[in-house]
Amino acid sequence: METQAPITPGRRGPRAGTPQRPRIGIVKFASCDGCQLTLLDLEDELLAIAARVDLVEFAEATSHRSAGPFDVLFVEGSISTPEQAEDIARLRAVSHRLVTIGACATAGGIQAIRNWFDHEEVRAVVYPQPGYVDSLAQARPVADFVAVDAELRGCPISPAQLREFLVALVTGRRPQLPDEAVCLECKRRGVVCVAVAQGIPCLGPVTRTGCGALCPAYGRGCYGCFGPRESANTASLAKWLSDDRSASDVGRLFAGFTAWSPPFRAMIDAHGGPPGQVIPVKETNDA
Amino acid sequence: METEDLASVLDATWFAADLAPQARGRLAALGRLEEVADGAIVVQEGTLCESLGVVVSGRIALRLSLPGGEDRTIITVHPGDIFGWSAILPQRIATASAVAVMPTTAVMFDGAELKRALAGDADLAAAIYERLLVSVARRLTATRTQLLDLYRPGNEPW
Amino acid sequence: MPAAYFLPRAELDRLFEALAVDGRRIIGPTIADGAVVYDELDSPAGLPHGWMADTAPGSYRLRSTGGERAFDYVVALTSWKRFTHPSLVPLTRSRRDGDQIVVEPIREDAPKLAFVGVRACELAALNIQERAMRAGPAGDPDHAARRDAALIVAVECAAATSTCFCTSMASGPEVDGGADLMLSELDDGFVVRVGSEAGAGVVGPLGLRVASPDAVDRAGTQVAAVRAAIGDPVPGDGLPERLRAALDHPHWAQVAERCLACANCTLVCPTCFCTSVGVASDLDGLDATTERSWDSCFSLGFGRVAGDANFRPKVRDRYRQWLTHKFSTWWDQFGSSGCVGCGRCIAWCPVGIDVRAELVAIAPATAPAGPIPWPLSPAEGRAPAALATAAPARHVIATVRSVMPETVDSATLRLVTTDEALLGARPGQFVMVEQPAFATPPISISRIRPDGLDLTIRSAGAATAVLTGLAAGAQVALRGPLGRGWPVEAAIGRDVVIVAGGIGLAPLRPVIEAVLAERPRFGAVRLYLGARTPHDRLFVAEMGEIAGRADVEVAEIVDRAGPEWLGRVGIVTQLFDQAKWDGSRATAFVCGPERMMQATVATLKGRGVDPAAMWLTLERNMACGVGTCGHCQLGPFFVCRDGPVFSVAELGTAFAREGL
Repeated sequence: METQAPITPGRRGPRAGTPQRPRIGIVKFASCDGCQLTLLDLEDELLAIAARVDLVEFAEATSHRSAGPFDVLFVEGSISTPEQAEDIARLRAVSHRLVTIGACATAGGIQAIRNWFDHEEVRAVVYPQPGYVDSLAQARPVADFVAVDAELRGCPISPAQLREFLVALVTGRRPQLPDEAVCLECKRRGVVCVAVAQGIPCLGPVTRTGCGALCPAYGRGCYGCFGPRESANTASLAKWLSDDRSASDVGRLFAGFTAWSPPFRAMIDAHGGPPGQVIPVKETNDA
Repeated sequence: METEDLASVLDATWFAADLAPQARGRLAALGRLEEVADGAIVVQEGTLCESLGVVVSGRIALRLSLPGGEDRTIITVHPGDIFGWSAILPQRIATASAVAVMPTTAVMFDGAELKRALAGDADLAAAIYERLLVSVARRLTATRTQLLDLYRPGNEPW
Repeated sequence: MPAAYFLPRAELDRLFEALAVDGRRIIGPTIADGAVVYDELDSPAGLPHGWMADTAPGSYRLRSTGGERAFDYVVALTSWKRFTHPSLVPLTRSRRDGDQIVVEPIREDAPKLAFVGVRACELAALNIQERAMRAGPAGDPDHAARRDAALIVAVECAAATSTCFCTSMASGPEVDGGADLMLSELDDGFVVRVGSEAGAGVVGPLGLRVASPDAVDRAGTQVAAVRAAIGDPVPGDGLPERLRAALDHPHWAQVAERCLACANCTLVCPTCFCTSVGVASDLDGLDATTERSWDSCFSLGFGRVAGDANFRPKVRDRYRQWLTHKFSTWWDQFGSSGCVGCGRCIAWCPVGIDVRAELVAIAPATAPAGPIPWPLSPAEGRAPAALATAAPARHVIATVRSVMPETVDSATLRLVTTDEALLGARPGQFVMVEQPAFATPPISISRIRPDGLDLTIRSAGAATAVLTGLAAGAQVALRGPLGRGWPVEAAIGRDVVIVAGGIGLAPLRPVIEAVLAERPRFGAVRLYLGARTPHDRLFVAEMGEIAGRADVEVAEIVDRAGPEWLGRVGIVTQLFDQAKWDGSRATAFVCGPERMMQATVATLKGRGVDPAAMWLTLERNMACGVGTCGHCQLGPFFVCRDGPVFSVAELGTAFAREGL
């Protein structure tokens, strides 16, 4: 088995364990740990899953550390420091498949809001002595640094999707992770559309499903924590929402946990930037 | 072979069929029928391409040599069609090797001679250049289709 | 029996009690989360008394009328399909125990329900969706059971909202029958008409008095006012033809700029029936269930096929599919419009796209109908007779006798079965191959034997990888045979041209065998085979044997090859584009990647082959195999049911048209 794999960002590492008992690792970068803890939420089946995989790296549950290689490496968190950028490149090279989990790893997370601000100013505000802290100018998704084989979205990720992914992994089938809009789940559940019936702004039509339409089911608009779905027509939704709210209110809707994802970022930019940051509103083709 | 015989041989090929009798005679007078042994290299990639050939029977493979010494057959030329059109292009450098992959008969035309004849006979030139164009276009279409790699294995959704 | 009874308002609960006998539950309108929805009701108290809904494109707001009427709200957000075609229906449970597998259908008992408050448009929608769900050879048993167990109490509209257009779709507002009971709500009570024996059984014991002529009159005046209020916003005359002629209208792209492709319109639509099947399993994949859930042609995955290709990648394509299906090709498929004018898709569109305005922009009433792109109406002319004997909802367990590797990524499974329907398969038909915990791929039959079937499968995904990796003795579950096969008999007395590309030879092999079995009945037989590389050629020994026959011409060609290959290199059309044969006496059978078939069809036309005698088999996302899931639609066709074998003439310009 190759243990000294060269560091080549974006290159898939070799297969490590047997297909029947894959070696799995879970690592984190800039994030809250909530996504990896979702694994512990699979309480009923946790032991059964543990019997079918080799969990060689999971700081939240074991003290065992591994340098790899991994058949599947789950990565939580955004890349926010130069050290993290080096680490992810090294980990990619020893991981056969790399799966990003959660809004931070897949889209940059809430901390990516700082990407709109001056880096040095932010450091000065956050840390009493910024000199001790090394950080990148932007908090960015893992896919900006290395190739990613699969994504589990959400803030946090969905236990059901995590289970589906793990079952697909150990049974050898293709995981069913739909890229459709939240709206489909809303309608399947029979939830009344909060946007149409109550005028509550909702990102459901442009957001990927997976949460089970959690927020609309409780009378809240979707705030996009699973990030943009395929063909997310954020421009059309923003234009519709602009009819009865200010540009900054429209921009703010997109400035959540997946703000840095390109379709959402474009709307934030077009509507004056995220809260607290005023950038000139660009000319749009809204008219 | 007599010019008359060669004319009837040419008439049986797609490339030279249905020419006006005079043009056909003119063309036949320029050509010579050649037997190419299985495996013989008729044209070598990167060298002077002297002759344009019309395959009468057999099969000619057009090959490119790839870095590492491996040859790749790009397309095969079948009875009726032509190879070695570089012979009548200004550069006359062969862009591919032409190799007989079975015993092959072809009518060969010296490129320079053919070019001179076409320059002096507008009717013959019009007919021959159009057929050349058709052949090139067909070859281009085939190449594009090959590039699409239609039978490429892809991931199925199930 | 009198024409109409009268039910005083105060006695509505008596009707509810009469409906709720024998454990029947009542579903009717009630208010939840700011909208009227259909849900279970214990008594008339749950009805939205005194509420009206103001609807507009992208907007729905309840408004108090101050009155007592229960049915002024017009239509609820939910449609009745939630109860006849639920959003989630379990289909099968399967188990694997070593080589053995078991697949059992899950059949839920259809609940006995009474639908109270069904509008004229909704009545039409129930019937339209029923036709669609029963269109397959076996019909959908779940839908049929639920529909049959429902008692329908219709209510004629006394008001309209701005999104109503039933008048244009000839589906309302008058309720002219088709329900068990039909109510018209007046201020003081209800005019009750009886539409069935079951309805008579409900109202009989109530001892209602006959409705006065005045009450009947007021009900008539009321609904006439509704008709007048709606007008005729979408002139329906010639609409299917006008839309068909507008497939390339620039306005589709303009709608796509606004359309979110969020699928809300399709899921609130009372006639949309499309579904997808999901698989859930235990951790070892030994115990699995499949269930189908509502899906939509607006989702990207809906049109996805092998190679991660997609026939409708753009939102423009998806909007066009929905609109043309609803208003045009639905006629071809089911003999009616797919729209009833309920207006749900308008009100519940999050960005207020108004289907009426889009129809007027794309297919204005003044537009002359252009040439229609496909000539045949499948609902009328193409009932696939071979399917009548098949029982596609049934799973047949077949055993693998042997596995023959064909190429580096494909293998032939030799299956043994005694099932008569499977053994009676025709060349060109396919089967759905199910195994626990995996998706169910459609696989064409590559040989029909007296004791079973051969399936030649390319390992391209998880399910096909498992199938090609099976060993002798393993079992698989088959549904089929499905689809319309090759019309081999149409080639009797004619020349036969067979053109195969890659794995496309697999479904053509039964044609070759059928022709060779009765070789004297056919004219010249020509077989042209294309493959990616020499190593990707299928059935090499067999084809070599056929090539040795004096009465068959066989030529093969590969896309790319090294110097060791002395055969032909190029594309498959080069095998016959300069041939001398006359195509006018030939019947052609073609299978391969769609782009290869396009080139082949063009070349065959050049050889004089009649498009009506050119048959090809199409690849689409065939998921259910029986025309009820909607995935494989191509213009007016369900590829699984009407095809997968089509003549080029039948397909018209639906063949090789981008985004259809």
